[in-house]
Amino acid sequence: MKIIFKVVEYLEDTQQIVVKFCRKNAPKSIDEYGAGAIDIDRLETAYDSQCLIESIMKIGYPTITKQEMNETPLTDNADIATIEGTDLRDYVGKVFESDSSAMVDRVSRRLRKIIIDDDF
Amino acid sequence: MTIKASGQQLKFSEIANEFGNSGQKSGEISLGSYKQHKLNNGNLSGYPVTIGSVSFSELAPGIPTSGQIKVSDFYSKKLTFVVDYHSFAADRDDSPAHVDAEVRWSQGNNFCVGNFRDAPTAAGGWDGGKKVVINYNRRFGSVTDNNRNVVALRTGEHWPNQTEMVIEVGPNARIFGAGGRGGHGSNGSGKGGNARNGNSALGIDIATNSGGKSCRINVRNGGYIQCGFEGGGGGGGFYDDPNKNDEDPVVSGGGGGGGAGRPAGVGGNAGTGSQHGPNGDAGTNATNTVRGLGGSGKNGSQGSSRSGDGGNGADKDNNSENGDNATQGGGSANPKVFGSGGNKGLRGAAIRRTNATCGYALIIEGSGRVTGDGNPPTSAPTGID
Repeated sequence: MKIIFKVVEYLEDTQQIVVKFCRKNAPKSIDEYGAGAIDIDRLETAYDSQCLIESIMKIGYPTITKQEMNETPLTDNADIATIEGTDLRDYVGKVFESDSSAMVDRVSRRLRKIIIDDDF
Repeated sequence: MTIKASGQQLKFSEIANEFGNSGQKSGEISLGSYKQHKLNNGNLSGYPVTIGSVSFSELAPGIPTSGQIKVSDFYSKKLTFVVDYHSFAADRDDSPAHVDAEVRWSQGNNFCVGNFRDAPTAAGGWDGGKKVVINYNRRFGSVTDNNRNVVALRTGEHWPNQTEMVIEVGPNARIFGAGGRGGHGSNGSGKGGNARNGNSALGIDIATNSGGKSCRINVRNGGYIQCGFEGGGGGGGFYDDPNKNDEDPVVSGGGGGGGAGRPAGVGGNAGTGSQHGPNGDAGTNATNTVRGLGGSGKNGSQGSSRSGDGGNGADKDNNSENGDNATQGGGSANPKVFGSGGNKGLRGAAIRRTNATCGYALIIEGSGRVTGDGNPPTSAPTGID
């Protein structure tokens, strides 16, 4: 996931910035997301732009994860089917879901047989 | 009305008693002078006259500004004066001296339309009724306080009978309730801290159900009244025992974001007491109008459990959030403690009333804004401190 931000205001008096965050592939413009305030002393301003940008991103990350969790899916994507069997003909035309975090380097398998070894 | 109604003989002295002596010498009146207003140097000038942000087109509605003027023009007319909240900005956080408009009135911080006299400063000079204009036209903030009844400004409650009160929220007025602090991040694996409440901007405590009193609020183009918004809750921490690891991490949650207001809500403190892992981050401070953000929760050195993020504070575009609960990771087969997130705070009001006897009418021009309860008036909560 790539995340983006937009600094919408610089408040010199209070030494704060007002920032909007969202995912790069969010379903609406970043301008339509709510803003949040960040104190400049929380940011890495002493080095280079990359450090500064990352320090802003770090503060915005929890907001973006909540956006992802809370955004309503398209109606066509929200009608999730449930099927017990494995006959792929039953799967045609239906929508299924799974958590992407469970897809990293592993796939769930069901145990078919357990051999108890008496010599162990 | 101060001056009696038509049908009875009206004396010059009764007109002078209401509007002040308009003659060249003390104790004299000149009816013609009432068509104009008196400058501070003693000269007369034609209407309109602007006091603060309010423009007055005549001494009182119906009194001529040119041509013939008659004694009968003064029947049923009353003096108008302005209570000065246009020449200074202040926060209750710094001093409460200015908060109550009734106190400012009684201390003489007033300007009379016409400028032929000083405003009465006690009920004894009220003579049956006056029109009081409270002119807010600068920035006013409240004081940081968890009590939602606390306001930045209030009308005061002991106004004399027959007071016609008009609250003029001018184009440069910014009246804020205080924002609530974000909840603190957890201590170790405990529950996240609860956020604090926002409080309120303007309190109406003039009783309008008796004594011929009334209250109207005009929010002019650009004028702004905003409730104090609440903070977000702090994130919960965890104590985990991941399989096959000797290090059992204790990780605290993030602090909640502050709520928008003046003073702005500060972010909740970072979590404390982590072992084998970092503490959750602190929440960020809000501004007068924009919320603060919740601090991030963290993972421990082992396992994939995570402490809760702090909830974001609230502002006019966003509701506040509770702090997140700590979450158990996939590799955690022997979980110990997962703390819950702290609660978000409650919101103050833009306009509150002391009780149901205190009514008001609210008129908002095009770009004027009243953000929070109290708009419409039926939504105004009761109780003022």
